[in-house]
Amino acid sequence: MSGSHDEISRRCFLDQTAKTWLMMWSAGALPVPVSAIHRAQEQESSGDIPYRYIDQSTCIGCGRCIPLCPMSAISLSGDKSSIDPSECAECGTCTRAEICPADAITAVQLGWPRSLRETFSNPLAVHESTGITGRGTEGIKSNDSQNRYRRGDIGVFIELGRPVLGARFTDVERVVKKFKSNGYDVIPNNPITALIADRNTGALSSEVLNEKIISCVLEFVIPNTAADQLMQMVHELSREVDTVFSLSVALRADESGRSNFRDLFGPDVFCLPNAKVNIGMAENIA
Amino acid sequence: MTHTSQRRGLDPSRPGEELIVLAITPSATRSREGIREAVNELAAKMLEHGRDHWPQWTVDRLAAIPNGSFPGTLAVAFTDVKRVENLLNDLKQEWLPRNREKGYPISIVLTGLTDDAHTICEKTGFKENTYLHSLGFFGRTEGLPSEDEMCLITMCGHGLIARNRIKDLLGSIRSGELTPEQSAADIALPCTCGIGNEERARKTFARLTNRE
Repeated sequence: MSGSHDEISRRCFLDQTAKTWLMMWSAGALPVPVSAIHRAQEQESSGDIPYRYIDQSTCIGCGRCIPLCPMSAISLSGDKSSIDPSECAECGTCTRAEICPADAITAVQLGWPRSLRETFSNPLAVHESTGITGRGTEGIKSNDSQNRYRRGDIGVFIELGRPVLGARFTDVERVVKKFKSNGYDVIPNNPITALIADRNTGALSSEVLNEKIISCVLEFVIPNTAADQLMQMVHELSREVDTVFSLSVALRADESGRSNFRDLFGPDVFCLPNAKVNIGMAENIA
Repeated sequence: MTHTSQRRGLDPSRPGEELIVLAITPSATRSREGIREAVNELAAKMLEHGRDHWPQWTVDRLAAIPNGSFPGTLAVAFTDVKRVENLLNDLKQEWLPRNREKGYPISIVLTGLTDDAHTICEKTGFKENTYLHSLGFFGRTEGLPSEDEMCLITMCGHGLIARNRIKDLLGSIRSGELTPEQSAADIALPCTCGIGNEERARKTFARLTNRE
C-alpha cells in the first residue's frame, strides 16, 4: 500500500487547517462557549482546573487543535483556543496528536466522576471493572472460547454516541431502564454494570449522569424468539434518546457456519453487508 | 464491543476491498505462562504476510509488539483476501496446533463482507462461530454526517476521526494543497488499534473530490 508518512506534508495541512478555522471564526461561523471559557480562565488563574485545558498564557491561537476534536469542543475565543469542559470527552486526541506548537494543551489527573469520560473515550484507558481497554468489553471477539453468546441467544449491542455526537449517561440510563423494564439486565462483565445504583430499575448513580463520553456499548442477552420485542424497544428508544446509537446483534453460526439473521429478523430489517465474524480458532479452549 | 462492525462503504459489488484481521487474548488468560510469546509469534506471522502491503506505521506498530506491554488485541487491515488466506493457512501448520495444545485461547475475528469471510473460511478449513451484524443507526440520525463522510469517519472504531477534520481535508484536496493519498494517511495516523485502511480512504477521498 502506498502512503508513507514520509511523503506527507503534515505541517502544510495543519497550517492550512488553522487558516481555515481562523477565517471561519472571524466570519462568525463558529460558536464560542464564552461562559465555559471564562470559567476555565478563572480556574486556570487559581491553579485548580479539574479537566484538560489549553493554557491561555502559552496558547498562540494558531487553531491547529480545533478540527482534531471528535466532539467539536475546541474553539477560538479572541486570539486563544479553549476547550469547552462540558463538551470535552477527555479522549486525549488533541494531546496525542502532538500538534500544539506551544505545548499549551494540558492534561490533568481527573477526579471522579469526570474520570469516566476518559475511561470510556480514550481507547488507551483501561476500565477498572473489566480490566479491558476501549469500551471495556470483549463482545464476540472471544466468544469461541468464552461462550458468552450461545445458540438460541441474541446478543444485543447498543452503542450510544458514535459517530460524531457523543453521549451523556442520561441516555445510557434510558437504555438500561428500557431493557430492564422489558426483563433484561446489562450483562455482568460490561463496564456499565458497575455504574448501576438501583438494580430494580436500572437507574445509574446520579453523580455520573451528566458526564459526556464519545461512546459506550451496552450488552444484553435475549432469547432468539424476542427479535420483534427487540426492534420494538429500539424504535421506542430511537424517539427517546438525545443522541445517536447503533444496534448490532451477535448470533452463533449454525452447523454449516452460516448466520440465521434473516430467519430471525425477516427480509426487511436493514443489515450492513459487512459483519464481524469469529472463525472459531479458540473453540473448546477456556 | 462493536468497534469495526459499523464501518460504512463496503459493497458486495467490490469483494475483497477490506478485511480486518483481529486477534484477541481474553483478559482473564493473559497471565498464563507462555501466552505472551504466542502472541508475539502471531504478530510476526502477520508481519510476514503483510509487511510489503501495509503503510510503514502498521509495520512499525507490529514490529514493536515484542518490546511493549501485552497487546490484548492485535488488528490489521488487509486489502488482499489472498494474504488473509495465506496467513490463516500458515497459522494452521504449526502455530495453532501447538497453542491449542497448550490451552491458549487466542481468537481470530474477520471483519468484512460476510461473503468474503465465508469464502476464506471455506478455503482455509475454519468455520464461522459467531457473527456480529450491524442493523444501522437510530436516534438523532439527523445529526449524522453524510453517508460519504461516514465512510471515512467510521474507519475509527472509537469515534476519534472528527467530522471537522474530514471537511478540512476535503477542502485541502479540492484546493490542491493535499492529495487524497496524503489525506488518507493523515486520518489513519491517530489510530491506536491498527484498523485504518489507507487504500480505501484514499479511494474515498478521491471519489468525493473528483480526483479519481
